[in-house]
Amino acid sequence: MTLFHLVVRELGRQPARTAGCVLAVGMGAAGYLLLVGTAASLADQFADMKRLLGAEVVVQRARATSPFSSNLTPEEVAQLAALPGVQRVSRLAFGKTELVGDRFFLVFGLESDPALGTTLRSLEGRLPLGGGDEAALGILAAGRLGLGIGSTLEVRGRHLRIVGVYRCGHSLLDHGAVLPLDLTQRLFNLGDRVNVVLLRTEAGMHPEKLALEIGRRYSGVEASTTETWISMYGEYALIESYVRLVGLIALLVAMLAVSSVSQVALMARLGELAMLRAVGWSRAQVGRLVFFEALAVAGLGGLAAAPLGEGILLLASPLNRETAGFVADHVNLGLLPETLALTLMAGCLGAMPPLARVLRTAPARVLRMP
Amino acid sequence: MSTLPPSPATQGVALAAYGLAKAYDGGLVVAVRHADIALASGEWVAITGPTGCGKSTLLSLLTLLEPPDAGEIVIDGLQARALRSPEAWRLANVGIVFQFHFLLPHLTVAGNLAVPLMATRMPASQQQERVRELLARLHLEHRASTLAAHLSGGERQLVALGRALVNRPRLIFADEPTGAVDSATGELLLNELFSTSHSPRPTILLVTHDPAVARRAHRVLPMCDGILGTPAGSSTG
Repeated sequence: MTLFHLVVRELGRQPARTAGCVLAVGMGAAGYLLLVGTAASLADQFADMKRLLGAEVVVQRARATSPFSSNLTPEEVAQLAALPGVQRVSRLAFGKTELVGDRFFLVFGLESDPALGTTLRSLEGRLPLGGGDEAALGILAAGRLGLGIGSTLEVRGRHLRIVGVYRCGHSLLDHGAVLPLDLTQRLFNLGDRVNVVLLRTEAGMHPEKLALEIGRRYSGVEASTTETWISMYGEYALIESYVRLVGLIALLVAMLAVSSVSQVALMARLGELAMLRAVGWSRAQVGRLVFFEALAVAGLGGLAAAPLGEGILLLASPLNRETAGFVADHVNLGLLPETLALTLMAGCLGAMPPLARVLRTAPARVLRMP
Repeated sequence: MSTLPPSPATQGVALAAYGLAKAYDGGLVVAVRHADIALASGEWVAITGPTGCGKSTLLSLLTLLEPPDAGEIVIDGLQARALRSPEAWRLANVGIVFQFHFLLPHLTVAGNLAVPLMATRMPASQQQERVRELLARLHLEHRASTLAAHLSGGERQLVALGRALVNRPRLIFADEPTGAVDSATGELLLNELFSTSHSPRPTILLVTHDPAVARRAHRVLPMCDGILGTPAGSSTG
């Protein structure tokens, strides 16, 4: 008979209570896993944006609160293109619309750009051509809407023929559609304006210097390096910190579950634990027994986090569509060791208050009672 | 019934206590008043007295389960308060039979017998050997794999006795060991307790309110109103 056997027997003593406690811990750990996983996914998405944009400097209307509310005139775009150190200008228009079964569908209006081909990780069919009622669908949107090449996509009452399905690895784009720039401008009433302009610099031109130069010359526009522009809208570090905090609160709830269940269980076993002290178990040995029980429950809960998380994601998949894919489709298994470690720590902390109470109780008093 | 061993009067003192006192509830309930006791090695002593006279408290003090308010306990010539760990002392030297068995119901009979040994560094094979010996001695081999929860009251108390003996203690303390069992089981328990034959022969201090049980001891100490060694009188309850 070892401590391990004793812990296993103890856990099997009240299987329903143990299972309930493991489930509570598992749900807390799954909450942490999902929240932190989402934050990590968000951070990855923003980090990946620079590659997708394929430009060093982004220009938008000064004081615009979002790229959607920004608009730049053709004259401004022409002035930017004529600046020394600018190698290429790409115009971008965005549209946000509702589709059947999709309340947040993003449309990206792009001009024909050979560089775009390298951005897309895979493309079936081709990208839409300017002047036509054509669209290319992101692979996630295609799957969600059940559409493919040759199908028709209705955007704002206009029937667009799907000529390609692409995958770029960025959920915003993969959950949306790419339309020709001119079509996007018409559909979203932009006239001849665009939302954002992307500048690729010539070799030797420092992007920050170019951005400063644009700001100095044109007060109506705001130029930033791509990294700065992304960080303006993607305060992902802040979001990640916040989400981690919420995740830790979920674990705290799990800790309280362990604590309260341990409290009830240990109070019911005061006589047995007093007996252990009476027959010669030290405080440390009794403490180890209680700790290992809590650790076992916390560990099992931590391990249950992955399947529980998958289950929660499956149940929440209809809601996930509304997030344009920012919530991962699957649990991030890379976060499991961290989650398990934190869950074990929560279990240990949760076991402390009841253990302290047990060790404070004089064995002699308990042993006189039946 | 087992045979009384030779009088231990000339043997060394295994445990002694002087002027022990214990009160609860801020001194309102005085459980033990200035108790003096000396237990010779191998001696069998019974403390008798009515319920509530302080017998169990005295036992708790002598087993170092709780500290006295006053007085001194001397073990093998050393002051008990100088012990670094009362638990370690109990583990190595003491077996306690409680009035209520306090078995772990989710463990088997063999598992319960092994509980004190788990706190030692004894190899598993030696632990198993000790448990087997006890199972044979207590005629519980057929119940070795039975969960304690499924035992009768008498069997449970028998296992509790086995648990007290498994570490081959020099001192055995028994608090009303027959209090919660029928007379036949009580007789069996006492026979097993007093036939404990490991070497050195253990010192036994038995607390009982049953005069028939007390008669088995070399010496009977009456206790009343927390006072040890005075003739039994009225009880404080």
